[in-house]
Amino acid sequence: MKRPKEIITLMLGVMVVLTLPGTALAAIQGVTGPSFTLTAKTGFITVDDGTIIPTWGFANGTGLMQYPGPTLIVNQGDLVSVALTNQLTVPVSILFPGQQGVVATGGVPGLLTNEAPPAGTVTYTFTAGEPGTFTYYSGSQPELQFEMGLVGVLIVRPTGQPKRAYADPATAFDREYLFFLSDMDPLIHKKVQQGFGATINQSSAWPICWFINGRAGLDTIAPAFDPIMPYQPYSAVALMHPGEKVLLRMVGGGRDAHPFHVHGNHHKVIARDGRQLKAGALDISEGAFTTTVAPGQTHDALFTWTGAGQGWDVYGHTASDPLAPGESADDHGLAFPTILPDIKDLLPGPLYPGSPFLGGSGSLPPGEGGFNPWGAFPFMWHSHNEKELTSADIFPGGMLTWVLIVPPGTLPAE
Amino acid sequence: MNQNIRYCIRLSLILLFALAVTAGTCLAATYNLRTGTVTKTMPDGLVVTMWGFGLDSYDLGAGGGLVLVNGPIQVPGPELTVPPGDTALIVNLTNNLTVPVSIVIPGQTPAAAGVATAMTPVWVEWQAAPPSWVVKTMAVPGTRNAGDVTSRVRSLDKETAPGGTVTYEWIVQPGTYLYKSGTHMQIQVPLGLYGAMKKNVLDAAPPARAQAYVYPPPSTNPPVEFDVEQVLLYSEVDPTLLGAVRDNKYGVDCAAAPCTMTSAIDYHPQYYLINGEPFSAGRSPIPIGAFAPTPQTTLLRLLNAGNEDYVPTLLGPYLTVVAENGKAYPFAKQQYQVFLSGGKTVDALLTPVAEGYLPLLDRRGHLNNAAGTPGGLLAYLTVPNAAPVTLTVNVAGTGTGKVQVTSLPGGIDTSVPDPVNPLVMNVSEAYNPNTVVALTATANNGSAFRGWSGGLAGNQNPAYITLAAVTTITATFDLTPPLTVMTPNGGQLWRRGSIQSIIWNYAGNLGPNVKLELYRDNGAGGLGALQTTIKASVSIGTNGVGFFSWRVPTAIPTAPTYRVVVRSISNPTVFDASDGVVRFR
Repeated sequence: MKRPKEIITLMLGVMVVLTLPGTALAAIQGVTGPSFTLTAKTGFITVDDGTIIPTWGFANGTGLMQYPGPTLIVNQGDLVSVALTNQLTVPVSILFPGQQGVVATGGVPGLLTNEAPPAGTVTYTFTAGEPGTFTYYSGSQPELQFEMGLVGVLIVRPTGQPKRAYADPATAFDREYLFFLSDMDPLIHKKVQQGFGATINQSSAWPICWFINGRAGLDTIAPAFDPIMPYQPYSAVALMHPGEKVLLRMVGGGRDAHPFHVHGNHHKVIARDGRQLKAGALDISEGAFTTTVAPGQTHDALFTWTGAGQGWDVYGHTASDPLAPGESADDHGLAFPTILPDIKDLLPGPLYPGSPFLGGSGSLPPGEGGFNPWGAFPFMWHSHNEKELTSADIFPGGMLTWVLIVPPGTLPAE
Repeated sequence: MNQNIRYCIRLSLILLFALAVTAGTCLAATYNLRTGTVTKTMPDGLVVTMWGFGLDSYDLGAGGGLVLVNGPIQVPGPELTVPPGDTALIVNLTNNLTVPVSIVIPGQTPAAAGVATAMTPVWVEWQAAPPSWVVKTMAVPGTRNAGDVTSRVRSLDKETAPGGTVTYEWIVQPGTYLYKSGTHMQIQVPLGLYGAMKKNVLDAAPPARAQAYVYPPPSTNPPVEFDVEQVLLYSEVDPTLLGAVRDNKYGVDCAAAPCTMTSAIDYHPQYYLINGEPFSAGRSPIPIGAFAPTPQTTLLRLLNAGNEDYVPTLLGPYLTVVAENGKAYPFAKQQYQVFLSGGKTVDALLTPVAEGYLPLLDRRGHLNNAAGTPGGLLAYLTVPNAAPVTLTVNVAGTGTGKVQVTSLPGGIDTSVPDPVNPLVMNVSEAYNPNTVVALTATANNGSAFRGWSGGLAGNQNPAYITLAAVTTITATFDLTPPLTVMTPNGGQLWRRGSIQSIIWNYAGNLGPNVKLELYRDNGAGGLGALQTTIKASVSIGTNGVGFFSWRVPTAIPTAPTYRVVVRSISNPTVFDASDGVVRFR
């Protein structure tokens, strides 16, 4: 939807929306269970260059189709039931890889599970036995239907531990964000729309659009439930205070593996496919700056940022100042490593608030700045396959978003 | 077929090949492989020519002497199993192709006479006349001469010339490995020259458990144990490449110009194989360890001989992923899927929690056979019941058609001839009790599905059946009449002077035109006297359907009943009449 130059407008939009009183900052938007009603139906998603892609997806109840489908959030031990109604003209079903004892009621037998025939229904029930991040997707001609958008995420929270990824206290987090990484070949969607779905040779699939949480950059940083993208309700921007532990739930939703790369710091992969990386009591988590997320795979990772290792105090403190909340003591009081030129000699970018320090501000030439009122530090998070930073050949776009490190006290607790 | 002849090198070579080798290493597993071509039929009927390996073994003949048994050429090649006690693997490779080949096993140590050695790559250089690549002899064999910047490597190791036999040897460590051609690999591997090589730490006779790996430090866990094992070798087929090679049209200097594929940059697989076969409805599920009385652990050896990445995803219990590239992790990981990149091997343990069928699908979506679906990388693993029930499906009637199980777990396709008796049009598959399957009948052109009999009744299609006991089902197909009157087909009461539609279906070549007639009913369900010719000649129609708008004459008597007849003009014996009577008012 957005042209590249409109990034700053969007950034401002994020700021404005987040500063509105009462705006929900729930970092992962979704639907809480344990009973869900999903409808498979058609819709249209928009890519940042204006391309419109006809899409199939899951709707929450009688709502609009959305891409990805509703994020289903349940608690460990819940008896989960997902009732699927099919408004498409082909059979649809849902697979829940990683869940044990999934029982399909109704529908007709299909290749992978019971299917809801056109205008029919089927219900899946299972006990969410283990916490973690999972995915669900169609099991009816899946190579076509997950391409068309019949995909989503299932989050199981550990019993009695809403702020942990797993029961282990080492998996506690302050904030959590979803990064659902997917791809599309619009040609396939157009063939389906025109009624030539049966002629598609999936060996020729050639994705040219890439998405985080169903949106192509720079739509990724627009607020959740932005009315200009009714079929793509989920935002993909991350916000955090220094020192907070942020849980990244990374899910492969397309047909290709995507190397998700974070700037600002490394992350620690603590779980894969909804199973914590532990061998008995031994921690076998893996540090990474890029995590390859295979299709259908999930990774949970912890990320934090304290300003450590910058070589200068990001707050501009002197050694005698107290530490800011979440600040690393390592670089406390270290001087800014260069002499700032006079403001008259600078051509500041729109995000420069007049100060290089976190939460800082200062005088700017008339008409400049104003797009970073918090003095946040933005770091790009993106696919490390640089080709995927495009949408139909146009840069910037695709699998591209940001984390905003905002000064302490800016955000309410999650 | 799999004869692992364990001899000392000296014994095997002298006895079987009489080559003058003086090596003295014992405890080597020896295989005699032979390259050749083999055709495979894809589920959509496409026949491709692949290159593969066959296993030559020696059996005791009737007279007591050793008899050479030439195993069939197969893709993937024979599994090369090295017993735990053997330190080396020897392959005597006979090349029946028209180009040189070789064998490499990434991860294993090439050896000669039990001593580790370097591979000896074969270099080639372009010569102008006649235009061809010729082998260049290097000062140090296998090493490019100083200053030579034009030679290229054709083979990673010594070659076996067409018609020749060469011995390859490796010092082997336990694990799951791919062996494949090391010559012109971008062509010879996709053509089918690959297979699985495996070695355990400890073999055991059931109920004792074999050991696949010992976990490396810092793990102190007991070794990786399993009850049964199953190789799942993933690969792919590019029919364009295979056709170009078969027809000598591959390369910029192909023998049969015009060359249809000049380099492997155009490699584009269309079919995807597990253990050499793409998914089709008739493919039987793959048995793994049982659940009862004691759950058995299956070691899945996953190998990818293709160039694409695959993501085998199991719907069911978690996989315990224990090793990658033939090397055990210090600590196993729980995953429901495996990222299996090109050339990779992964070992995973699977212990069932119930009887049933566990789908294993590629989450990258290679579930097609070219434009056909379902297909490709879908397989069902069976946790078997001790007392399965058999479903037998027959096809009967004057027409032709096929019946397939089109739901989990497949296993029946009557269009695939019985390998034992191709004339018997029935197929059987053993299923766990109370498996529910969808049976879909598909009539061939000119035939129609009439219905089920035996264990099913009616003509619902697809039909769903719960297999509680041994079941035999017959599907009946009838020949479709070449001409069928659809309207009026009885029951009509048409006003004289009105305009009515006469509609018919046709099949086959009946000429361009038909004749439409109105007969009186004879009162016995047949045709009486001809009342009138409605139209002497009208187009037979298009796409199997014909149509005529008839103004009903006002002079037709209203008392009798009538039937409409559609008759081929070129073959007047072919006709059809309304099934019931038509009246006029």
